Amino acid sequence: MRRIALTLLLWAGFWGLGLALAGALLSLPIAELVYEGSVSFPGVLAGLGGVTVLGALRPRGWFGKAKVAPRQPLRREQVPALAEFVDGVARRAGAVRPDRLVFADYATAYASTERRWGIPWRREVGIGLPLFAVLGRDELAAVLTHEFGHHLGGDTALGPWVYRTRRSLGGALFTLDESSFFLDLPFRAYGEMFLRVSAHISREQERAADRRAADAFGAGAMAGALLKTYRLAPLWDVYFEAEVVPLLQRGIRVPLLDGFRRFLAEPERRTEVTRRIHEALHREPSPWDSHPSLEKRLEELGFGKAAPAALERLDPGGGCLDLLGGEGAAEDAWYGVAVSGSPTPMSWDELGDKAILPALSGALTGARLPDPSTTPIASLPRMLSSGAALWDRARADAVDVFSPEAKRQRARRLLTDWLAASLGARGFQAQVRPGAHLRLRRGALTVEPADLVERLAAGTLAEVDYLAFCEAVEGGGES
Amino acid sequence: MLQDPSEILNRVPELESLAGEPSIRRAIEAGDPFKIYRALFWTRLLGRLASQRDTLSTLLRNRRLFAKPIKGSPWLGTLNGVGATLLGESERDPDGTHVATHAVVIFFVVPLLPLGAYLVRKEHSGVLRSSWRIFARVPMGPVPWLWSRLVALGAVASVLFGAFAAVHSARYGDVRVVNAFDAPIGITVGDQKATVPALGDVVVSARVGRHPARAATPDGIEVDTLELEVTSGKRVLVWNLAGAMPVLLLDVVYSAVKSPADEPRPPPRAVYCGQRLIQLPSVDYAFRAPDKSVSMPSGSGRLVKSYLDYERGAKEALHGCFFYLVRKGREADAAPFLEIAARIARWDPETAAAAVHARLSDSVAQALRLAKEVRDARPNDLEAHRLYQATAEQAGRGGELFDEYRKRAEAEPGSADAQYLYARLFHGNQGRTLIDSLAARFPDHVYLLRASFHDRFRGRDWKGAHEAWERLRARSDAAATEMADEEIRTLVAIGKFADALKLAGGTFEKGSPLVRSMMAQRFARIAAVAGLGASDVLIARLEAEAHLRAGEKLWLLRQQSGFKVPKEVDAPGLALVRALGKDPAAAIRLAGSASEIDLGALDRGTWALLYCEAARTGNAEVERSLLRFARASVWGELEAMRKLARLERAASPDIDLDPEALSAALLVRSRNPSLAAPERKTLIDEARRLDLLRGQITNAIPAWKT
Repeated sequence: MRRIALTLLLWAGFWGLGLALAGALLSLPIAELVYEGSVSFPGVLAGLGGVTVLGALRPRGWFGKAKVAPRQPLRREQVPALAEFVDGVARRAGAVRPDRLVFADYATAYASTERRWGIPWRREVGIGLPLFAVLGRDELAAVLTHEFGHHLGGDTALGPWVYRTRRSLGGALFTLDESSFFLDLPFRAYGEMFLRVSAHISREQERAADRRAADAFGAGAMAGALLKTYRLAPLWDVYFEAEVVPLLQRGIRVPLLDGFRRFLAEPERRTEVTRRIHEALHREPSPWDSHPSLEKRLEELGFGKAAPAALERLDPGGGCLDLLGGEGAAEDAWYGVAVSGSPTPMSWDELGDKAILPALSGALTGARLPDPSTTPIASLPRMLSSGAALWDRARADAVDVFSPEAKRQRARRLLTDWLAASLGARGFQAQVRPGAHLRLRRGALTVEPADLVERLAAGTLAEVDYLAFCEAVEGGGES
Repeated sequence: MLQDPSEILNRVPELESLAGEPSIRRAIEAGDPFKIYRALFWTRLLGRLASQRDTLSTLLRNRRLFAKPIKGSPWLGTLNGVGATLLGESERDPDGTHVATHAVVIFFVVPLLPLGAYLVRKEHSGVLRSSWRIFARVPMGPVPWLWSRLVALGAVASVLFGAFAAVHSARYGDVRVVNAFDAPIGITVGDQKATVPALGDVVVSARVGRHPARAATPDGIEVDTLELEVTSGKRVLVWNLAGAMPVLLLDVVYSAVKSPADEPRPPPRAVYCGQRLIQLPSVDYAFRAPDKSVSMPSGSGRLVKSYLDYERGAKEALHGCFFYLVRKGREADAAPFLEIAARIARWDPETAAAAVHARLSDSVAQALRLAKEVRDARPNDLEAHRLYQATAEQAGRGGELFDEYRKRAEAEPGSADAQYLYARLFHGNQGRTLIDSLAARFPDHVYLLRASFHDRFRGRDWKGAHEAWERLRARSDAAATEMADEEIRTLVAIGKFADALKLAGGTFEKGSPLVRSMMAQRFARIAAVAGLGASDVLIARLEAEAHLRAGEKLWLLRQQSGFKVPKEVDAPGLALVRALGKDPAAAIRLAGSASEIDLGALDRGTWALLYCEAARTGNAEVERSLLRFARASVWGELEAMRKLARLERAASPDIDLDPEALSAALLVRSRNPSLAAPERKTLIDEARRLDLLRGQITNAIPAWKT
């Protein structure tokens, strides 16, 4: 009840602040007219400020249709075992079974309630595919109970209010951003306070849902699920965004869980992948977080610092995939509801030659670089030495908003692709390793173009050695 | 690990090496490229990260690195050279893009307020019209940024100041305090104190609500006290101290077509004389001069605005207010401020007389109380005694008065003043004899000399009156001049027309406007009676001084002076004077509906005829109207005139009245049908004889004698 009142208070507070500010500003010229008989220049300024604030507060998208298409649900007959499992968990948790089960995009789970005219219409629970792959049944049941807890606790009813307030605040700040007359400052201050308080409410909701899950399926199951999810989510998210999404955008369907296993096993991850994983795993808790930290959640579940040992390794091959009919059926189901159209199935091993190298050649055509199939790869050092200028030539009509170092990095990336395409044209086969650089191989000759270009640019690879490598490549050698 | 929500590290990787500086790190993690730019600016300015100064400079030279997406198109356009445009061209790239500042401008290109900066490419360039392709927002350079912040701070400060002023205006209201007295007056409104200058005004700002208000002179004479309901807003609240100032509400007419210079001004919408509080919902010009010209709505040829003020610099404002109230029959409203004015003026005789007169209209007892106070305050002032005596007689205290002054005279047998004050209480032959003997005994006493002339004139002893006037003139030219009108008639009565003309001309030269008008009339009548033919020499001078329009003359004065006035001419009072000579009943009817201007323009003879006839016929309404325009010199004669006309007293030879007033009263008396024909004829003959200058009364006799 306190959370509901606080949420509504925050919503009302935003409108109160906005309307009070606009009213105060608009009242100045009116007061001047009433009490002084004329409107002064400051009165005109205040009036314009009031109108600007009202313009910033105008309702946005209240009456339009949702721009994001609803997710496709999993049909009960499509996943009967899962449906029966969810029903059982709902009974045990004392909750009503959800009307829709859907796949969440990431390694997470969520609960929502669709409303029509303000009346709850359909309860929805979403579970990310990777959770099926790593969670045991008790752990999955705990996660589901946690989400049912959001339905039971009325949290999903508050969500739209928080969302609307955030959207209105965001809209107001977007309009008033960099306001010449500091009109954004009150909203910025309120926004910070709002985010802190609403995040605090959200964290309380999560704790309550955790307790409900622990009561139903044991604190151990909930703690296990949390541990796996907190460990899994950053890895899966980076894998999914860096490796899978680009392929999906090209209409290619790859085995998701197989790729994730390869990603986890990869010893030579790319620098930016490593950085993003590190960033996600070691992010400091923030007052704006919607979920409590793992440590806090475990502590509240009674584990304190003596939490179950962190997972040494994730094994995304077991878990509860059987509820979806096994790994293949699970991925079929995921692609069936998450991706529109009919992507071309491809294994990770055939991806390099069939998709990556042809795509690189196509991209380079528009970058004003010499034809990679006919230009000697020995010209790479010369191209590399032109540095930022190479990027300036390649960017064509795009407006220049990059720093010198950014341009150099982009030029190196461009040349990496150019070298990969050149080597492809010279009989090299491409090997895609999720999380790692593209590797090309011809016989015993193995090259990672990104590594080669970086070393050449940094001077750790002498140009003489590179030219010797070029000779070997052009001469058809394999060593 | 460095958070980078705006992903600017992809565009500017150099920032990663600068993130050791906390302000830069915070800015990167806040996700706002403009903040990052400003953090870099301050870092360099404060000399931090000295080892990376070159990197800082390189980045700061390229504001486009910190670009943000545009939020709609910035407003561009000017009207009459005022508006907003993109100015300047910096950080130009070979592809034609550059950074321009979006600013509010005047004269097309003079910047007033920088609004932002944009990465643009000029698509078309002209003298007064250019077009740009806008790609992104970029941070403003240090100078425009500082400029815009200063302007914005100034704007915020001015809005705050405006809000403060509006709140103050809502909580406080102005009270304009107007002082018609010839002395500064201290006022208190609630807890506010101020001093209102003499014949001036002051504005006091008081908290909204009801406040006790008090006004007093520095030496403690209470001037006014009341409760003020102070309101905020455009309402005009004026505290006219004791109601003494004639505050005027006028219409100021603005016309699209230039009006003729001599077009008469519209009469005041309201005259706030005798009104202590003036509250009006709104006034266009309250106590400030109206604009010489105003912009008018299109299609409108005339605009009327309201103007509230008093005649600034007018020394006699208070007396003007008094005369206005007298004309309106509201003398009682003038009594309080006249009494205060008299107190402030240490019972100046003229002001005290006016105050007593005003009190008389309301309460004889109050008038007597005041007159006594005046006399007691100025025991050696004969005017104060005369005022007291006149008031006591009006109050029916003649007996007590007589005893009191007899005792004084007996106590001070050698005092000319005491003897004079006692002797003047006698009337008729007894009084004249006593005065004459005292005048002989005290030949330098101006009051006795004047009384001697006055009594002889009233007693129609023309020769004796003339001699008395000569003695008076020898002692006091000013006192003699005061009696010039009487002396002129005396001279005519004894046939000294040349002397009469000379005296009229001389008095005309140094008299007040009212005296000049009377003398011009007298001059014309003397010439006519002397057989020289009516002379309009002095009237023509008055007309010349009045700057009349071509063809215009002082028609009423001419008519009353006996000159022919064309029938088609219409002027204030003219119809009434014309009727007077033809039909008394019509004249009384016209007097009943006449305007203040008509009645105010009548000469003494005409006025006396109408007053007596109204009294005789019992027309109280016309009598009251005429009373408002009675001149001060006849105030003491009204009762006698009235009684004579109504046959309420005998027409004895010792009636103490001015011959002209007596002439009018006798003519009207002759109209009583109860009188026998011979007596009526005698009265008419006497009236004709007393109208020494053969003026309006003589003129009226043919029509009035029936």
